[in-house]
Amino acid sequence: MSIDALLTLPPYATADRHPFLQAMHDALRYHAEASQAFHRFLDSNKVDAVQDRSIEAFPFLPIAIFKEMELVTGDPSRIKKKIRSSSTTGNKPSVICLDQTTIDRQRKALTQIMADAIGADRRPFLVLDAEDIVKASGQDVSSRGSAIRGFLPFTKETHFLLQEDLSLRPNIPEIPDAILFGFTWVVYQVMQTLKKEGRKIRAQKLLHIGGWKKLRDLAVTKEAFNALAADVFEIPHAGVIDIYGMTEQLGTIYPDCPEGVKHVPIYADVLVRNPADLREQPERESGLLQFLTPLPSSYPGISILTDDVGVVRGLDGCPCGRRGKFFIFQKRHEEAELKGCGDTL
Amino acid sequence: MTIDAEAQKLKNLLPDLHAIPMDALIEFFDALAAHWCQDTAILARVGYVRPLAEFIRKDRLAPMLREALRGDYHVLDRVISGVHCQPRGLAVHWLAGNAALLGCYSLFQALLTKNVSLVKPSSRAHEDFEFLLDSMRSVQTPALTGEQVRSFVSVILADRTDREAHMALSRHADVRIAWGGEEAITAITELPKPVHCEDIIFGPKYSFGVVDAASMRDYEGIAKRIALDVCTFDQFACSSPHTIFVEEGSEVSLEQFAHSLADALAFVGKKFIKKEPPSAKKQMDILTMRAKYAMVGQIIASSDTEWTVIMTDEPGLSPACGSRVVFVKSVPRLEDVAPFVSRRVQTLGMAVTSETRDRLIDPLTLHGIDRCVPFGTMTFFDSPWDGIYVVDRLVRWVNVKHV
Repeated sequence: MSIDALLTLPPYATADRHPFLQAMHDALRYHAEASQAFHRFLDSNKVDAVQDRSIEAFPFLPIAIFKEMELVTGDPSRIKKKIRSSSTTGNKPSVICLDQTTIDRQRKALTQIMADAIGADRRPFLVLDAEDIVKASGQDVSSRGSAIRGFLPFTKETHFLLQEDLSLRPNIPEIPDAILFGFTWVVYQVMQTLKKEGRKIRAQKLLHIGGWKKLRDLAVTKEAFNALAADVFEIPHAGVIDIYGMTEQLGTIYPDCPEGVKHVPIYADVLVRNPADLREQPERESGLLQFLTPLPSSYPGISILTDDVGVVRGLDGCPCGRRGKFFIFQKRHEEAELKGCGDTL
Repeated sequence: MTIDAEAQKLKNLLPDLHAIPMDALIEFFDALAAHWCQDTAILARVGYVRPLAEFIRKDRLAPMLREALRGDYHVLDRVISGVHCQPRGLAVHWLAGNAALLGCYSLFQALLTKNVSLVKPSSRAHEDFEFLLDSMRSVQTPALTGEQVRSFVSVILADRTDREAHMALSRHADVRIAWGGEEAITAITELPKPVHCEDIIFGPKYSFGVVDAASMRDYEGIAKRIALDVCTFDQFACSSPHTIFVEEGSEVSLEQFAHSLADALAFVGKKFIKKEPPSAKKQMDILTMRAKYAMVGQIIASSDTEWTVIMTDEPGLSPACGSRVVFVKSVPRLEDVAPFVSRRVQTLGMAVTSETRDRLIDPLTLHGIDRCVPFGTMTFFDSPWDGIYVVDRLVRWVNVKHV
């Protein structure tokens, strides 16, 4: 099955991985031919792109490679956008080069996944961010802006609730059936302000993205976050949806289901690797998360090993009814790096 | 006990340490070296203890002390030829996490110059450090017990964010010795200190090596010696080489040399110096380096993340990944390396003819480099180190004129 045909399938209707595997093979062969750098990487790792392989045997790029190199597959003149990661750890940001094909595929995947999470009907969105963040400067877009723009097609109407300095606007529209949406750490700041000022913003659901690193530094747990959301937004626990995703594979996102786990859509796969030897971990053993998707056509990010830690909880049969593999994101890998004296350079 | 009380206790012990003759101290450290090399539990638990033991053997210590103390280390016992030496008093040591045992080098030199010491080890390595320190208690010489010597050192555990504790440590210091990265060193040197307090800084440094065309005849032997330097401390020491420049013009290709280095790294790792398991973060760093240079260079690597040799024509010093990742690159002339030298470069490993050495050392060391040594000895702690005679900085010289 081709990559585009794969995108016509509903995200969680089957546990059959054959269409995905076939699309991954097509993607691997395409990038091996169209990216000289990736071809050299495969050669160096003695990977024959023509040969069929199991999903575990797909070669992976470490996620930090996108901080080191601006990788492009195919004709660089077809690049429409360059997405830069937020670089929360203070290092260089990742740079991801997107052509129209990749943008379209990622949009289709995102639409299917979001329709499953919040319904296909367009809803009013109250965005907990400033409108300026979604404005692009030339080809360059910040990952925060890009992520927010990616969700705008699901809105019936959009209201940005924050000013440029991330303080609340004086007039907040009252739309009780709206969906609140924002980056986790920004949402937390807003919730703290509301709590302090004794104010509330009522909405039906809260979608938050962008990870927990900044909040973990402040020792804020998911439970405390959800309790604060219940207080200031009057949204019950099941209405708070934490979405995991990454700049390096936009489109394939992983929202929590009502059971509190993340489901792998048919457009992607997730493997867990042992941090010590990088072998695949058995189910229910945690390790480094590897994400695979055939969607990118303009950069070879089809199989990426992250430094995030998670665990596969099951291969099928979540009580929520979604089919296929499901996992839990546990944390960013936060082990303090052993620095050598040579770090001076 | 508070830091204030601990510092005062040590200062009260200064006369006791001062009364011990230098020869007795040297004998004690020689016995300690022998004890470490015979005790299998210590050898098994503390990697890299052997080079430290080598450093404190009498035949290394005595000449080192003699050289640094103007020809006669007994000057710390009595007036000799119109000069006398006194310890500075309380030495406070902040040790780094990357190669914790390096801190022992400064600690032992402080004791050998009769300074009492307060040590703040890194949270990562304090257990091994204290284990090694406590192993002193098993050693006895005719003049000294290990218990006595151990009593001149106190260990303080403090979180790096505990500014009060670090200020207290600094307040009592007669000499501050700091090992670590840029951030740690800056934080320590900015702490208030007594005006007389001397600072000895072992900050972040980078090391590299050069091989001239004529020496490439013995490229396999050179590769083995470089592998030893790379594997010792798993490349986390300031003196560990990260980049090797090979002069063009020999019959041996860079690729042959790189393969030989790869074989040597595999051999040394298997037979002599087992690698400490790298953290997941470090493994990701290694995989990223490998992925990058598979695309823009050439790599030879173990099937796991144990060792990596990278060939690249990128000019200059390559990133210090650590954990046995070494870059090799060719240069038309070794003099071409000079523009990359700065005060941040510590050790230059060399496999060159004496003519090349004589020609290179002055221009290469003008803007940096504090040690030029043969491969195989890059990580040996030495004196002078980081451009200074540490022993000399740990004493006060008393000018004695007779009427």
